Amino acid sequence: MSIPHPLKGEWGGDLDKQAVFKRVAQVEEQIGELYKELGGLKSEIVHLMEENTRLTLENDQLRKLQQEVSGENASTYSGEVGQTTLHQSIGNHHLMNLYDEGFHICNVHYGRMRTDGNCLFCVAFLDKTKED
Amino acid sequence: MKLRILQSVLVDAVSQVTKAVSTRTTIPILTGIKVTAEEDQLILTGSNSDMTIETKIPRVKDEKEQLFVEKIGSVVVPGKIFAEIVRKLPGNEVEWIVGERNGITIRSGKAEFQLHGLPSEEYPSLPQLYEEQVFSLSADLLRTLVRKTSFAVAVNEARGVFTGVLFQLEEGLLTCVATDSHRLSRQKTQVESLPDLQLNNVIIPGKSMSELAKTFADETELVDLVVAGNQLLARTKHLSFYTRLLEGSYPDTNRVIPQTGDVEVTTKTKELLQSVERASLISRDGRDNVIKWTVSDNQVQITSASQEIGSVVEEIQADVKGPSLTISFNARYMIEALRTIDSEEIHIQFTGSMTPFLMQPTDRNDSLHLIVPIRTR
Repeated sequence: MSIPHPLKGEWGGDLDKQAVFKRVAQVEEQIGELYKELGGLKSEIVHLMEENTRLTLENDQLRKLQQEVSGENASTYSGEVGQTTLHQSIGNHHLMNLYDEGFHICNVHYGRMRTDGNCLFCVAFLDKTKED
Repeated sequence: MKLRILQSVLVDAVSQVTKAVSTRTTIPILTGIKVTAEEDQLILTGSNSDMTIETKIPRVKDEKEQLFVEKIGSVVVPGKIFAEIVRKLPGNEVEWIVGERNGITIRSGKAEFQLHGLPSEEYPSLPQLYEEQVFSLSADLLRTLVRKTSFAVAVNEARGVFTGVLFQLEEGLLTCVATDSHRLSRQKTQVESLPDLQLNNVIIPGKSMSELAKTFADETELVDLVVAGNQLLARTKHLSFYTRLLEGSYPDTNRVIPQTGDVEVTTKTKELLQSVERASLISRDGRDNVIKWTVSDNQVQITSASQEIGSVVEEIQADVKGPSLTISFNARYMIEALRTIDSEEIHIQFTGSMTPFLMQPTDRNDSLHLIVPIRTR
């Protein structure tokens, strides 16, 4: 895209104020649109980065799990007894695992990535489930 | 419009309202300051989409005449340039005339400026608030509240309600809460209000809080706070500060505050602050700024280590009740909280190395800070 020089170019050196103004207004509009597009792209990148981190974590977790399972298969079957008593706390364990994996489990940010450090609301919730 | 005014008075008023004047905005007229001359006062208004500041210059202040209005009227002056012009004017007095098509003439000493103004009708009008929900507190107390809470709000704008400070009022007791979900500050104070006035979920943006403190920095009288719709108005006789409130509902924070403590530590605030600051010198470049506390009989050992830099160990005297405990946390959160505590002694209450701990000044129970430790595995 070429922008004619406002003082020379198309207008042959004459200072057609109206035309210059129109042109400037047009350019302003275009810049506005570009800016919007840039903002959109930025949020897309953020989204992609978040997804990437999530997938990396999930991948790690799956690998670990796979190793554990293959290890368990090699050893004997013994863990079936007394599982009914565990049922109540299984949900809490899942939540605790999720928290350790780096997700919020509190009602305030549930399911989102914990980007920096621990969360007051999650910790309060974990404590409460421990007491129960 | 035609008037004369003392230059120093005008400089003060203009610098007040320019705090709210937008530099970048989608509404061009908001880069200006609206000026309205009435018979015995001059009103200046500056605004951006979040905040509006309005100041009134009375004709007489402290029995001294400072403003002489010859002809009433109003105009919008270009904000930034006007503020700079006013500050640099040579004379003690400023003569100000608005003529045809909003042309502005400013004379002072031997200087004369001609500025292009804008019609004041294009300036958005101030929100009209129903003044039903009003409470008052001293400007000094308001500044203290801002100082003790606003540091704890989340800085990331994506965090919604956590970027603001929660105001709650019940039976004349105002509770302010700020948290970024890693630490929390809660301050309570008695304010003047009607006994049956109750306010819930009023969330003031953190940025507006600091501007509020700056705006009322020199005030000594009572400040009225009016809450209506999605606006808060803070007001003294000559100064009005409007801010937009944050939308969304603030989570209940009472449930995250531990009620009891197994380990209790009492120590001197200043000494503690200084030693935590020293320990943080080693850890501050790390991601979480982690320092470790080992609480045992009559002392707290503060340690911090970094693989690249080195390490530090320091012990401070403290009155300790309960078993010994080791806990790690972000030193910055503690430093920021301790800096706002004016009391000489501080009481810290732990329930475990994984659970949040409470910090309170020993001589008052209206102030509380909470910090989540870092879970070390």
